[in-house]
Amino acid sequence: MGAFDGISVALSGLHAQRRAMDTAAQNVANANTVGYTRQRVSLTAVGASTVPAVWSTPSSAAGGVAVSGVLRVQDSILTTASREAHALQSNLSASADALGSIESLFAEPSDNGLATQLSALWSSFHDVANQPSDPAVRSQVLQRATVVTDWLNQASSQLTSQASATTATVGTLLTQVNTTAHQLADLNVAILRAGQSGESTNELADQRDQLALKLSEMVGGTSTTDASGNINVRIGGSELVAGSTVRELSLVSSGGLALVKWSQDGSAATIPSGQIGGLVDAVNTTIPAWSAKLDSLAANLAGQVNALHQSGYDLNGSLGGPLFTGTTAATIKVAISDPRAIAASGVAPTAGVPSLDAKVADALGSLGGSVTSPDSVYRQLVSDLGIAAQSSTTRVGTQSGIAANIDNSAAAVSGVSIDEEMTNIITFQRAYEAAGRVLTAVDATLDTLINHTGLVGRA
Amino acid sequence: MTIGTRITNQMTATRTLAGIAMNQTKLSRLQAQLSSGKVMTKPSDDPAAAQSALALRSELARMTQYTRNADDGKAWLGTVDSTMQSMLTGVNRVRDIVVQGSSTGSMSATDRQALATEVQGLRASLIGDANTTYLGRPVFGGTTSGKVAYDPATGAYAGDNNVVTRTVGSSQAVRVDLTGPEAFGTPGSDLFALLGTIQNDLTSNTGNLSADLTALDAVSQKMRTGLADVGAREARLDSLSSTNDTRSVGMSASLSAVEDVDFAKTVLDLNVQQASYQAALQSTAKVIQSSLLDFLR
Repeated sequence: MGAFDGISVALSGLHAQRRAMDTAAQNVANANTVGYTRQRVSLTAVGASTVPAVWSTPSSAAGGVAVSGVLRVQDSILTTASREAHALQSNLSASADALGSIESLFAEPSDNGLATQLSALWSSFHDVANQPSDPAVRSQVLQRATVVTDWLNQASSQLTSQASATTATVGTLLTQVNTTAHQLADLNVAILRAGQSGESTNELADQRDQLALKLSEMVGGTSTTDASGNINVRIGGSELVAGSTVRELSLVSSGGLALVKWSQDGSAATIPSGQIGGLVDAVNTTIPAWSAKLDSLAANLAGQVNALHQSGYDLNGSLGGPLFTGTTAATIKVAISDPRAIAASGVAPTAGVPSLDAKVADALGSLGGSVTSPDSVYRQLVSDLGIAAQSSTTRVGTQSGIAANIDNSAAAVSGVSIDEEMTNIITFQRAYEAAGRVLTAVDATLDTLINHTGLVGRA
Repeated sequence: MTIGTRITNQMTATRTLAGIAMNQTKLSRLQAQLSSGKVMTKPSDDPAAAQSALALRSELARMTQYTRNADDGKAWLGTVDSTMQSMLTGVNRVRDIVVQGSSTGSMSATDRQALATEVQGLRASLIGDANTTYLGRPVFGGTTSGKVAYDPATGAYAGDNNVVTRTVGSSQAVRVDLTGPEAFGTPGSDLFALLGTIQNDLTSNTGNLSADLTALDAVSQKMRTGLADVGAREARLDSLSSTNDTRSVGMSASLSAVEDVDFAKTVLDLNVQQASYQAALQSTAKVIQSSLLDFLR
């Protein structure tokens, strides 16, 4: 062992503690940075050579300390779990939002919802039954019927515009997916090169994890790290990002449906989860389903009213025509504009003179109370929608809780604790001071050797 | 030494924020309920309650309409009732005249002519009564769209035999009219034809007057029976509409129980929620403030 070894050991200590303090400073500086993973200096004691040479004299193991690396403190299982939990959360929350928008069309119970308008329509038929010859009472039937058809037309067109607005959102999000996928692939390349040249890749890796999380939130899928350290993302069994290559996604809107395709070959892409998965599901499944229910309500209303109306005779003595035309919510209209053409009478005219009988008007007025009435179909629809929206909201709540818990666990591993960093800084500071003191001690020892040795007898 | 779960500053901040946000959501929901007075603003707040509320509302609207129908029916029956009563007075007067005309000894031809003239006048007035209208419709004319039930000139029946009903409950329809033939006899041999015969017999065929009296009594009896029937139906309408009123009150109460806020309970909940919100804020202020930095020199 050489006389100056102590100096280099102390120096390695000074270096190592400085590096550790720098890392702590970086942690403190990024205490509030989103996606930052705390870093820790990995120190290794340097010992004697493991392969002794012939002339070496390994009398001691003291070779000082070396910084073997600065590590990101991260639990990769939690990182994966977090991506999956966030993908599902965004998916459910997109579905819940879609149902919430649909539900806002049916703001029941209220004083101006369809239920109230239908009751008003039935009442007006009873009023006609009471005064079959009064034109004012008859026009009221037509007005109230128009209010009902207007409501159905409007609800239907709002569902259609909700579908097209959602499709537009899917398009915007897909552009973001493509951009994010390219950024992720670029980072894959950058990290690989930096690693090869021995530079620190910690901050780049943090950024890449953030991008992978963002992709998961948008399209779900699975991300895996391959042997060379690349993050690869697969959705529905096909690769979105593989190393440095990206396969882009594009939106094809056809027949009111939103179809996501691979730009490369135009084949259909499956979006398993994420916000886009939820939105596509809303456009292709949820909205058409409720639209169909509205249509069957309109068909039920038109069918029942027309059947009765066509069995009666109007104020001119003619057999009644259909009161409603169209059998979908979008197309249903009041077919009659002349109040006299409302068929209230169940009795055919005698010798051309119309009867003021009102059996048909009475039957129409009593439609609302039957078990198969449009009212009860509508009530069922509202109740079903309420249950669907409620359970959807509950699932979002549950999944948010799960995601928050996973994030919490991940933060417990990767997050910066200021108390801890302060404690570390004190530890490293003390060690730095001690290494300095060692240097002083070695210096004093050498001083004794160099300046005060061999002076025996000198005056 | 092992260290338990690390708690970082950001975790504390995130958790605290989430807790405070949840508290605020609950507070704002309670406040919305109190200010609107309604428990539900959309079906998903309580789907089952929304369905019952809709059913109750539609049932209440039907009840209101039934009450309107019953009121209209009562007016019809009231018109029929009072008209029949006043007509019976006229018929009684005719009976007196017939009895008077039957006493062969004391009546001169002039006296008989005077009686016949009075019967003629009474007949015209009774036909006028039989053409009484309610809201423009002759109440004894069935469902005719004409203006009269009996031709004012000939006394021939101009109405039909269809009935007028009012729906005053689910599948409960009450007749609110009395057709001419039901009230005054079969056309051709009804009250007005009989009065024509009497008018004729008084002057030229006194021997038939006793048979006329029997026929008049039969018609009068028919009118009384009709009147009793009308009275019974009025009573039924009254009872049905009072039943409707009772049911409406009950349903309004149920609807209120489903839709409306229980103020006492909600205010109490609000206070509890406010207390927990303030506690969350206070503890946050204390926890987030301090760190090791406060104690290092």
